[in-house]
Amino acid sequence: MSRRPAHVTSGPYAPPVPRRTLTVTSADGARLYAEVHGPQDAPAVVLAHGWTCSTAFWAPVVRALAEDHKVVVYDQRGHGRSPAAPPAGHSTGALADDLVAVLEAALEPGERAVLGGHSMGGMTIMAASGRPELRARAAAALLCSTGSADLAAESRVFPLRSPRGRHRAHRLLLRSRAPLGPQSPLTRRVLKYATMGPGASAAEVAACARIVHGCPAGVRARWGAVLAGVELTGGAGGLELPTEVLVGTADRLTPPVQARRLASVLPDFRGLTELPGLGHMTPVEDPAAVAGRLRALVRAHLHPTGTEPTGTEPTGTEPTDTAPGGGRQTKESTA
Amino acid sequence: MAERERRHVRVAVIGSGFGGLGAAVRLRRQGITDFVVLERAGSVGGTWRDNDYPGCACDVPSHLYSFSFAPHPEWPRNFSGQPHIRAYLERVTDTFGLRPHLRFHSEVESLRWDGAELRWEIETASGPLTADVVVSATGPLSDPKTPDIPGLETFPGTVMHSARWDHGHSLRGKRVAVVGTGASAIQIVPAVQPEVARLTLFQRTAPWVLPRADREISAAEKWLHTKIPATRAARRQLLWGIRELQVGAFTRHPDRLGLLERLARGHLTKAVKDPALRAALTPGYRIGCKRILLSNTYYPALAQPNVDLVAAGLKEVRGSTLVGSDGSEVEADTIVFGTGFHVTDMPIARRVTGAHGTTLAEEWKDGMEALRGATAAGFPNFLTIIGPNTGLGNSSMILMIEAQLNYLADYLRQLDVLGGKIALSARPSAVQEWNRTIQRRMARTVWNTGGCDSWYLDANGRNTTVWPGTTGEFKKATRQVDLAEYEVLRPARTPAERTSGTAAEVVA
Repeated sequence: MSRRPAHVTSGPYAPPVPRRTLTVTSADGARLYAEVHGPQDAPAVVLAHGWTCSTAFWAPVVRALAEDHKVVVYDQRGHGRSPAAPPAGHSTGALADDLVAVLEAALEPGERAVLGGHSMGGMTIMAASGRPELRARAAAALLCSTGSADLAAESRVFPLRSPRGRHRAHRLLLRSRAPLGPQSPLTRRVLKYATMGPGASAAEVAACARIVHGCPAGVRARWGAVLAGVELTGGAGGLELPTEVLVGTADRLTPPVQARRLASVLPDFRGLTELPGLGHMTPVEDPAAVAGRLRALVRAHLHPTGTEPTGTEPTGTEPTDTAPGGGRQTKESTA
Repeated sequence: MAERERRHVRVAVIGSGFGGLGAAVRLRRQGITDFVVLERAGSVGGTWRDNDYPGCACDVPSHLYSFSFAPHPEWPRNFSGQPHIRAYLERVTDTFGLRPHLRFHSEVESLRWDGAELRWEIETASGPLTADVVVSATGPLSDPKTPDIPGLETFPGTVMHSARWDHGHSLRGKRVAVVGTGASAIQIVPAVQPEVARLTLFQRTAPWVLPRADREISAAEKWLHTKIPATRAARRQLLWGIRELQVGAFTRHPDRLGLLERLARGHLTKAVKDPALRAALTPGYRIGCKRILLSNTYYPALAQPNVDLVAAGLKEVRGSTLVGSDGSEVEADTIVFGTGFHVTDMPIARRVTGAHGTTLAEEWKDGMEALRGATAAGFPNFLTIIGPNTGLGNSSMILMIEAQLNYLADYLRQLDVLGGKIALSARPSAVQEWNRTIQRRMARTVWNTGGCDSWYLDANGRNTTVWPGTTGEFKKATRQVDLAEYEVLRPARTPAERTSGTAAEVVA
């Protein structure tokens, strides 16, 4: 498509090569690009990215999990390699349609998966909470840096004191069609301020910048408008599966108050991980933590029939990140 | 009422004063019509129906002491009297179509939380009903408080409380004793003084009294307010703005209230020439610590020859002789108690049984505590209008009520959004956090540091009634329900269902 790929091409943030790719057709006919990483018979993890991101956003998490998990990532409509939908195709319902379509297409019949959603991807899971396909397929979920409602008023990109002022300012920001322009130190600084913690490295910022700048302004504005008015508290309240929540304490887009609200609302809430000093882009800022929670959810809720409940470690303390010491025992005896 | 047996409503509102009627209007605006307003008496109006003593008027200008959604361009006076305010509430009831929701003579006898069904079981004088949500708008100034005076039962004459005025009993030519010098008493004294033979006022603590800028609102103004609503709105905004600016002096800089004290002293000096009486009427605490009273007629009435001031409380009654705590004895035919209300011990609290089987009164025995003035821990889906720490020292309570109605509306919206049979229960940690903040701010306020004992303070000396900030701050704090401060209660499920998330998948 574009001359320059919308992601970094080397280093830990470069997307790994998928085992296979597939095109999924959603309920309204929209085409979605999906990738499958990792062994075919390993426990499955399906990841949904957020606003203005793409499959490449999950690269470090995929790297951390793919050795012993089947990891499915897909481009939300309009993002990455999935074509944009007509204006009517921008709704949380459409996001839910897309997720269940990906689950049906990428998983084997009867196979279950742990879902991970970041930001709008988390909202996708909430929006799909009532779908029978989701109930059948999802064993557990991790909601990273996300919220269910009032994003415009709760966000802290514009640190205005009045909630109404914040609401207006953020709504403008979310719905803006202004082109981000070519990447520059300035745009990277702005992006870092808005979406990442103060400790984010240049490489992390560069990886996110490449992805975010690759999102067409029209797509960004349409989905931004959806986010500005999102109300998925009911969806979160109906998410009847073990769910963990993860948030960076310096998140300006979906501040921890959102995560705490989810913790109140989720019917089978299993824990809140607050990552000190991190911003909104938790899967890039601390892929080890995100992968670790996903791993723990897989271990606790996706054990195939016949194996012992848990591994050697207690479930609370997740083994960190990449290069797991000789494949987790979760792997060996998959269904 | 047998056919109303086991009747279920979405919301039950208790009380039909400003709070209850406001809640009803707000519910209808929210699209909720499945609600009832339970009222113990036979008409609406609450405090403004019960308090019809001679001279009763509001000490907040009427254009501010009215609902923002029900403006009334025709207020007759700056500080309108009780009959006008009561009529206003009757009109609000009609205008907003609230009559079908009213259940008169339905005093709430008990409220009990049903944890299995997630609803309130309500026993009323007109039969039982159940409700998903209860809005308690019983008000702090609803149940009169009469002090326990030894020998009162031996008094041969008439005894009444300001809020339960006996209109069949004429005071003409009688020897009347008024006990108390609060907002009611200082209105009663000048109103009855001309007709009584002798008026004795028992004063424990002298109040600060400021002149009241009361006047008739001219026909031209009324015309202007009717034709150009913006002028009415501007008038309200101005009245509100002035009071918002005063708040800082009450809450953070009580030393700045000296100017007001000078004004009040001047007011006293002008009306009372007798130095002894003047001394007795000069308060010994900082202005604002007790409610500041507004009256142009109180001091002149006290200076009249048929009025005596006893600068002491009423200690004992021996037949028709009233004995003050300073030993003075007075003969009287009628006693009028202007001794206030059960404010810090809300009477409804004894009738509410929450999720843990305890009553609200038991939970609040060490002082009232609620989250954002509305919800209490352990009492799911129970909201109080004018709950703990929502009172004001200087501005219109209607502003606070409307802020609480915003909160109520968002509460119900969140319940709808979450859907299904659920209830919200305030987290104890959130309640504590909210009250810690309030009490920290309270430490500097004039109510706590002014050197007086007032009805703002509870039995333990804690201020659980006043909001230590501006009405704007409260409005901001109650614009939305933060679900992080609540536990979401769902109907208990069977053990198998409940554990399916963990055990079923892990083991089986």
